[in-house]
Amino acid sequence: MVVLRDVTVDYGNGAPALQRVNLTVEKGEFVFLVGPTGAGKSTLLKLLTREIVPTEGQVWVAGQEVTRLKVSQVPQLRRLIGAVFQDLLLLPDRTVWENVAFTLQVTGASSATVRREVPKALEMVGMLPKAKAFPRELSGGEKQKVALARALVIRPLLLLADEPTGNLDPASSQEIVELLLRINRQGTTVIMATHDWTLVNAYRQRVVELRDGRIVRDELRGVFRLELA
Amino acid sequence: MVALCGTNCAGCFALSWLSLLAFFLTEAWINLRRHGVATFATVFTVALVVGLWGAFALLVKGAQRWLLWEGAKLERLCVFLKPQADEQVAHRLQERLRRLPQVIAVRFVHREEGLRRIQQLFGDTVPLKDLIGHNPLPHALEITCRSPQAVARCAAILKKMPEVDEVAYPAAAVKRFVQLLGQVRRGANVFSLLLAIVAFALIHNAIRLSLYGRRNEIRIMQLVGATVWTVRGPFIAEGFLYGVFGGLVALAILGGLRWLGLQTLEAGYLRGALEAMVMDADFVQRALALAVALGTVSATVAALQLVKPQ
Repeated sequence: MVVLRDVTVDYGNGAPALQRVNLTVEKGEFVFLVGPTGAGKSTLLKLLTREIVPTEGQVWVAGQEVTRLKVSQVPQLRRLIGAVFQDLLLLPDRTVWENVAFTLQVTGASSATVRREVPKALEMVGMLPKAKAFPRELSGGEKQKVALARALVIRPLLLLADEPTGNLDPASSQEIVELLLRINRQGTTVIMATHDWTLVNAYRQRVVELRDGRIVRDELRGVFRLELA
Repeated sequence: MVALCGTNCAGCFALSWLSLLAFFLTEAWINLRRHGVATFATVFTVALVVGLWGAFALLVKGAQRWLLWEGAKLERLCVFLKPQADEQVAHRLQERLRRLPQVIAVRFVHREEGLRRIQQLFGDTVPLKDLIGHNPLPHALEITCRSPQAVARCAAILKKMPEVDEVAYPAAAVKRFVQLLGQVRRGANVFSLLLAIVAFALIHNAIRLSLYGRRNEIRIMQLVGATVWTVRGPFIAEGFLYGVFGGLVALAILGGLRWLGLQTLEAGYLRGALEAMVMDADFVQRALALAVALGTVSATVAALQLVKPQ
């Protein structure tokens, strides 16, 4: 599903954000991407959505060489990827339903499709009863669930989550990871960048550790080393 | 990926486009409401541009209609004879003029009749003859030509005749009036153009403001696979709506002013001209097209400059 080959990203402001990174994530895998702040986790995720292009190396997503895509082909790539980013907030002046529907509307989905798909996505994350609520009426965990529904509604092949539990209490964090695991069990590949060592250690999935822009560890059923926390 | 019906049929394609258009307009409407003051300023400027253009278009139209109504008079000219020319000279000239190919009819107007006509204009309160002491008017001939175009040629022949003192015809005044109107209209067009540049700058700024206000939406749109034109769509739709509302406001103002004029003006040339300034379907279409073009083109330029593929 995802292949990075000798990828270097240099923003030109000091040390490269990523240095000769090699990584393969198979279809249906669940990967925790861990590492201290500035290790290159967000940069790696942005490479996959082609928000940035590598200075060197190649990136493949779902069989497409992302680095060689024309600008006009990028939207098609992104329709394969669901993204839950910490800074990608819900739109405050729209209801939960409208926030999720927005994703479909911008890709030209008909209102019939919107009516069909939005409840399914909200149901999956348990937010259907609050479909008419505005983001200000939701807790942090609920907002994150809506963000997850927004990413899921396009039925992505790959789900990227950048610190999705960053501001949540332990119970809500657990709920979010369990949701991600459930989505993963349905066939979606999930890559989750996190600082939360309790979650990583509790769920024992594949762990890829980044440090100073390099992959220093890649373990199946790995744990979070406490010195990172 | 969410497919509409599982195939890429033409119906799905059309439905997809319609859904996008509805989405663009909805988003644009949300934006207009979000930035009330900027929206008002932009719509007002568009209305001013279109209103100014429309006012002069109507003015010219009114003048042309009025000229058409008064067409019969345009074929007439009046020849004032020299003071020493008596009735016999006048009748001889009348006979000669009847033989001219451009002329249909020639009517002799005695100097006393001329004075009576002027007296009628002033009413009976001011006895002109008593005031002046004598009748200063010469004998005159009223000539009806075959067409308004023949009047100028006929006048040129008449001016060369020794008995003739002065040739007066409304066509000359009308010609000067139309020329003046044309100059004013050209001036107004230049002013409209300057205002259009102001409107362009305002719309550009309004779109920039919208972009700032919608940066989260834009990031989401880009990340979920919206094409660059889908991202630009709501902003272009916003410009379109500026145009539609600006055009409608301009039409409402013009219509309102015309109605007010008709309510207050009494019968006469001004009222006649105002009645002739009909805001028909063609005028409404052209005014709206101008407003929509101004709004949409400005917004498209802004969107092209400010929303880049990412």
